[in-house]
Amino acid sequence: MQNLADWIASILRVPGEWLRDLTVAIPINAARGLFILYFSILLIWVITMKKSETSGTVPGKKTPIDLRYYAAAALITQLILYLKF
Amino acid sequence: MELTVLSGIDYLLIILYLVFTVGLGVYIGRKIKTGKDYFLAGRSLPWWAVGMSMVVSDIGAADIIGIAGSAYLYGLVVANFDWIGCVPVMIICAFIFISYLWRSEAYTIPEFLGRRFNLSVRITCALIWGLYLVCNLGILLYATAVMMETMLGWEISTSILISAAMVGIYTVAGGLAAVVFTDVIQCIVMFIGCTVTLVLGLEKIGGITGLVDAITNMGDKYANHFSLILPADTETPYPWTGIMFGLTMVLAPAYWFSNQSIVQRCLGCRSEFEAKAAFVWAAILKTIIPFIMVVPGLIILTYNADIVPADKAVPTLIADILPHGLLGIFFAAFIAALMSSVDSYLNSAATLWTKDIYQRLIRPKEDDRHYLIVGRILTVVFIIMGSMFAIWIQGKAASLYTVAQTVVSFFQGPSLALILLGILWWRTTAVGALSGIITGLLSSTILFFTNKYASEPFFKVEEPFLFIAMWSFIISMLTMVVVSLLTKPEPDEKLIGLVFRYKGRNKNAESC
Repeated sequence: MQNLADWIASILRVPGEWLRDLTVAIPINAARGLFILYFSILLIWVITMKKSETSGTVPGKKTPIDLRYYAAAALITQLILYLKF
Repeated sequence: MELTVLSGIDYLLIILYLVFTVGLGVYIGRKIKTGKDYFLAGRSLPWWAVGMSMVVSDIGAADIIGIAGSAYLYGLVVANFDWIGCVPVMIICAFIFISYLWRSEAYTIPEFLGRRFNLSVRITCALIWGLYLVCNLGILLYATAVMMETMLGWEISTSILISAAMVGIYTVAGGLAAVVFTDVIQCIVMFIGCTVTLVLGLEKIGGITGLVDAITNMGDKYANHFSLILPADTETPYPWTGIMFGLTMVLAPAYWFSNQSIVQRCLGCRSEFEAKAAFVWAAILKTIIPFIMVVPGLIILTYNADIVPADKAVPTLIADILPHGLLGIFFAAFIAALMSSVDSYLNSAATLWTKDIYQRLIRPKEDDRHYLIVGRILTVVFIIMGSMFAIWIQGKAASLYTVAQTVVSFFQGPSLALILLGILWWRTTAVGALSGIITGLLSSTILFFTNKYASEPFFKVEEPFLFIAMWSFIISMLTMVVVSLLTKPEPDEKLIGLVFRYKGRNKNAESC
């Protein structure tokens, strides 16, 4: 079992080490930027969605609810948290 | 030896909570007449109940202790599992995936995949998910019983049997509706119990400022305790690469898009809009969770940095700060977290085995009432099997629990690739899907065992599950794409209404 594992590991280790070195070289602030970018893209996507895809009514309430506002609020909170911490 | 001693008032509160929960579940059960009522609550669930149910089902009793324990060791980085690991994918699911699943009127994810692809894909997924759910039942029961023993000194087998009986009674009686509405009570109790612990804990150490100052002054070892993003070469199990590419891109969407126990309650919503609203509401609730579950782990660190193992952090904190009465509320919250997870897995396992295996392969032409009876019988069978599995784990090596947890995570990457490509890319074929699942499972297994048995592990982190999930997802997805392109496209009737914005080959060509 160990011989087989060592043989597979020897093949995988080369690209693995290369990828690892690559990610370790990325500064932590650039990594943070990636997190912020992810939330920002999602936020833009949510805000620009068609109202017909995000609105609807629930029993007992006549006025339609637009889920975009609530989804955007959740994403903005995340953006603030990831900018702060 | 137990860390906490409960008084009469604590036991009274716990018993009141249990009686109310079980009573509510049994009361709801009186209205169940058909299989659809039992498995999908007759598609009558409101968004607010489903949202709360999803959140509380995601948090097991072991998590209340484990999350704070990890925060004690590694800091705020643990919050990633509830923030970036939940909020964005819930919103994506609300606005893309859940619509197609709800509109298909399927009872289970494998049933949806069967319509989109073929019977082989449906049965393969049903068997894998069916085994996953049943095994996880046992693991959840065992993990919680261990916590009960640590905190209260209760004997493990007794805890397992009592928890299983409580959950079994109302789940058998009331099906999905009972699961969801008891989850609402459990969610409220859990929020109250954990918030009280947070507030009293913060009060003891001088508020948020006191917390930040204390940990900042504890030296270099704790320098990253308020960081959500840790370097790629961190010694903790949570480098930013694993969080971004393993958790955010694979494990989280796999859990929220394709986990039967999560998606099933949305399929029971009154309308497509309410299914979407349930996910958005759950995303808002998830934003709050780290404040009430992660921060207590940091609070105890400020005045006791020597707790070993870290899982004793919360028991130590509550023993220090909660008076009798409030202790009872905390333990009711703890039991609520257990029940909400177990009932979800139990109900989903029964649904999946009844609809995808029994109804599809054994007795396809019975009336709906017949499947209701089968569903109830299977619920009883699974809670007994889960309890026996939990008691059996106890008799074996403790490491078996960890192995079982790791093995069940192997399916996450391939499962996500399947649902993602199945809904988003019309060109995905049944042969491509099946090849992708098999290749993904094989790659997870090879990576896990190679890492475990090689002279020197090639993953640098101690628990490489985030990376294994990521690579199995990539391999699975590549296989699905290549094999799909090499095979004949599926006919339009398998695509229209099930694939994102697909209107038929001719119409799509016209719009281009």
